[in-house]
Amino acid sequence: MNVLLVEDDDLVASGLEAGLALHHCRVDRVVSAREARQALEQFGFDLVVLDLGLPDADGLQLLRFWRDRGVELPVLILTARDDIQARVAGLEAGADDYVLKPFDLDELAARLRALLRRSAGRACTEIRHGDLRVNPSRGEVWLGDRPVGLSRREWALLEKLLNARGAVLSDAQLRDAVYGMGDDVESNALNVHIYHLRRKLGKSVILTERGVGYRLGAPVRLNRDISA
Amino acid sequence: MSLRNRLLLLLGCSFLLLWLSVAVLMYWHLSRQVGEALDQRLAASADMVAGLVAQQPGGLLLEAPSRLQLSPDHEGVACQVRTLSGAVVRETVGASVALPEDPPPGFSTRELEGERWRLYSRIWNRHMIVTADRMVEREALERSIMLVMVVPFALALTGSLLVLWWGVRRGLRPLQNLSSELRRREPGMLEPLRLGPVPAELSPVLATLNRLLARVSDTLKREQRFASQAAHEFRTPLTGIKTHLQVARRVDGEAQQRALAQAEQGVVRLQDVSEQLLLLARLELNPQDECTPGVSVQQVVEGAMCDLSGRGRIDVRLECSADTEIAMPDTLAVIALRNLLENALKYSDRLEPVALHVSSREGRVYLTVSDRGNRQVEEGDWTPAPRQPDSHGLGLAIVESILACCRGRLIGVANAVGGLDQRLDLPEQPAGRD
Repeated sequence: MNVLLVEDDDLVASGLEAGLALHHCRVDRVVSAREARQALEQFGFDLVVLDLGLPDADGLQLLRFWRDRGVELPVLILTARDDIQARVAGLEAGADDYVLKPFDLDELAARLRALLRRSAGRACTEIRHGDLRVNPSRGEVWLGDRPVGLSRREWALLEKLLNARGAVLSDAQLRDAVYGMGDDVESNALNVHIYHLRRKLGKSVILTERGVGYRLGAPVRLNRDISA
Repeated sequence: MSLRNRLLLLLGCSFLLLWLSVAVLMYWHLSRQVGEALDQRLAASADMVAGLVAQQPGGLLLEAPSRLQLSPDHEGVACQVRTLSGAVVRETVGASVALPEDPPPGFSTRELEGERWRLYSRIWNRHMIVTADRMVEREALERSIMLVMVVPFALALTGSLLVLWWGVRRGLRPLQNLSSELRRREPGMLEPLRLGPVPAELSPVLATLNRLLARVSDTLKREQRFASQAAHEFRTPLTGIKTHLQVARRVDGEAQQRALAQAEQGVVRLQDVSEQLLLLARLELNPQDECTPGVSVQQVVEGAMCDLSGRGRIDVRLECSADTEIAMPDTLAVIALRNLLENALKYSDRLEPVALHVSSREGRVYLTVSDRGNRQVEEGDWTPAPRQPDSHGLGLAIVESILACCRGRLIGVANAVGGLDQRLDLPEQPAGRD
């Protein structure tokens, strides 16, 4: 799960980055509305965690700006404004959830996963793709009854493809999901992770669409795709 | 008791008392006048009889065949003419029965055979002439007069009271409207009172009430803003602490130490906020305690910038002597300036400088903190809302409280480059004072 964190307070932001990383989230942080707009224009994110009291604008204004321009990314407002009017205003401005500071890290991660699940059109926590089972909340991957160990980047890549539900994702989209904004990426780095995933989960788990990108393959069947 | 009822009672009682006093006085006077008139009638009757007697040649004879028939038995004036030896020579019907034998000369009142009489007697030409009225008749006349006087009086009094009631009610209607309007209002309604045209006497009351409502409304809004800002200032470091502690519980080694260090940093921030709030509480309770002046401009600037994160962006311009003294305690002056600088650094572009301009003029010291805002208005169709001078943080609320107890002022205005100019207007310590 690739999260854009819009938070101007260093202390809170560093805690969120560290805490969400423990929940298998990749967090990219920006400190102002301007940076948030630029980040969303240039990179792909799964969802946004938005503080309201930004130094250069009100978070609600930024949210309305996005919604007016058709940005449908799930947005969770994370703020200290606890009055009912502020909550109503936040939700009516287009937020998908509203969480008050201070919050519980587990609850926040669960809410983010729920937002992502709903935006992907799923009701269950566990993602099933044939014999492949992925539990994002626990960070577990099972192939049949066998647990599969994935690195952080492999996990991000697989989750992105699973949530895309068969849609073709470009190299850039997958790179954003795996590396986010900050990391310098070598040209063949993505191919390495795809290679490792195919090796662990079967060749057909990721299909290459030449000149376009990659998509999730047909549901994984243990007997057919992988020799036990 | 309502003001209207009290006014009605007071005016009604005054009216009643005044009118009754006048009535009693009039009745007493009239009664005396009537009594005197009736007495004069008795005297005139006696004089008339004396005149008649005087016209009889040789006087009146005892054996005269007829009596004077002046009035019937029970009404009018009774009259008796006697000789000085007491023999009755003439009398009205019934007078011999009624009148006494030896009345004193002049007027007297006697009870004779169960009836009270008013008598007048005089001696004239060797005759005694006695005239008399029944008191019952006199009293009946007095009662008639009183009745004639009382009925219109009572009607006039009742009418006056009714007019008074109507007048008071109508006159106090604006007050009644004000009362109804106030009673109708919910406790939270702080909009100005609108009653239409009001009398001149009520205008200042209404104006004062509306001013008071406006002040209460402003105070409430300021309190709500302050509470919201205080909550924000507490919750933010608390969130940092809680998050980092949760992380520290799940990791170990260097990551754990890093999380704990961050949590500790949050505790320090929380402590700062608490201390500022405690200072604010002290200022509100005993503003004078914190206000023993003075401190030099240089000390204030150095103190405010000491350990300030981002101090490299601050461009200080001193246009008065560094020794110019501000008439307020150093701690408060430093906190006030530091809060303004922190706000300017936090809410302006991180690449832009923040100017601190210090000057003094006519017994005042001015410390102006100017930032250049966030330069983004020209980016595509993104137009951020303009920044409000009072929109940021608990810091400004604390600055305002400090200034309130030290004869200072804070003036915040948007500047031409899209930022804010926050000016501290402080009293200068007169030279030669410690």
